[in-house]
Amino acid sequence: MRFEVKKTNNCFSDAETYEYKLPIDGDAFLALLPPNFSSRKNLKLRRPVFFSESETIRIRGMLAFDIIRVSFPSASLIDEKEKLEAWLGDVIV
Amino acid sequence: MNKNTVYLNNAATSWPKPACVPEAVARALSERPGAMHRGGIEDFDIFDSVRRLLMPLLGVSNHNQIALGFNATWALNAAIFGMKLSKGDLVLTTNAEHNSILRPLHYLEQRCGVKTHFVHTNKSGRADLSEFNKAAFDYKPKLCIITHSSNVTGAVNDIAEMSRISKAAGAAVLIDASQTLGYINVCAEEISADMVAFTGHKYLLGPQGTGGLWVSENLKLEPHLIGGTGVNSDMPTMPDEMPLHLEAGTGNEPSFYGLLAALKWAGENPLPKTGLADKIDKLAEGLKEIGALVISPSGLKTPVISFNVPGVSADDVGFMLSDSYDIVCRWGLHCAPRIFPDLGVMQTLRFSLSRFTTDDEINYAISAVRDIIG
Repeated sequence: MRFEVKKTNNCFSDAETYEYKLPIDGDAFLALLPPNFSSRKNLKLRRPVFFSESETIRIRGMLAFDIIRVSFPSASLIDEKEKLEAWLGDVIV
Repeated sequence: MNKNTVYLNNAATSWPKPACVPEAVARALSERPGAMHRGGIEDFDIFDSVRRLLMPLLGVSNHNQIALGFNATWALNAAIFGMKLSKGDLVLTTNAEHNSILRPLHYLEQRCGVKTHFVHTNKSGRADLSEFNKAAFDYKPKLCIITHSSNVTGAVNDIAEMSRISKAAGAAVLIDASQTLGYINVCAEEISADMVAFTGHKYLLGPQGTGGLWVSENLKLEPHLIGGTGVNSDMPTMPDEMPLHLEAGTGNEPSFYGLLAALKWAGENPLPKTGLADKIDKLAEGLKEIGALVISPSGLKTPVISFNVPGVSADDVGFMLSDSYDIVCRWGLHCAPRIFPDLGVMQTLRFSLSRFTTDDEINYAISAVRDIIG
């Protein structure tokens, strides 16, 4: 298995956020993201972080760690999650 | 937990505990269980001992009127459902309440036609007294439920005046002291409250899984949880006398040993209130100076502070504080969703201190938020 997935919860019942543990760190993951994602890094923090967004998905994580958090739109969760996981399966070897 | 973690989530569960607390829990688990209401003079009754030490904090004179259970939610359910409210009855409460009150009231509204009227808070989360006064006499509630302090902003309500108004309007009074007991005493009998719900795992410094409900001798609740009590087993109903009337099932003895140790420790080490109030003020000022949007109640407050960072969602700030800085705090709705329109914000981040929070930790938290603001 190339990655592990676990749903995380917060205060909002429509939140669809999942953690993915990857075999690469956040910085390497960021370099793989397709051009429809806009990304920014915050290097000033104690442990630098990144935020990436497409039209439908929001991803954040720490550049030096291997866990990312992905927020999907609740209306199209299954489709978007399947697409992301298929893409992850293709690019992460 | 990372040993370098800065723990600012004491309004959820206080940590660390005094060393005697985990020691007492561990000792209880390795010793023979208690006699469950069957002991004689020479048998130590852990629950009775806890009740007696709670009396001065609650401001009550009969320890047997304190029923002990799992947590404040257990206590609030015992109180709300024990009132036997029925269709047409009205409960008056505030927008500052926790879901442990909101959800039982919603259930009663949906299932039994019990109505609820909510009083607004001001911008710092303190219940509007004049609105409460008007609503109490307009609606003639059967029950008034008042949080002693907002778990979101720390604003302490004037429960003495709210209790006086409620009684004058003919209502029973339930105080939720989850956020205050151990930090501020309740004086239940002095203010003529009928019930006080509390938890052991916040400012009382006890373990999770401990809480209780004090009930005035003038009020008889229907038991919400029904079962074995270890005594009167030949009767088909719960015993009439308190606290057994509300205490079905085996109690959480190890955790109450921990709470007893915490209560004794706190008695020997009185809370330095000024020091903690100074710390929360220092944190509030520090956050304001760097541009955070701080909700600062005036007057009496618990060591809790809610804030936002301009232009960054609370969720993102919380992520950065926890993952990048190892600060344990809470963000979102804090299980009190109704208060946010009154505060004029969608959600907040919350830092909550304890007597063990250090100046270095406060400075570190301010510095972390400064980095995030950029």
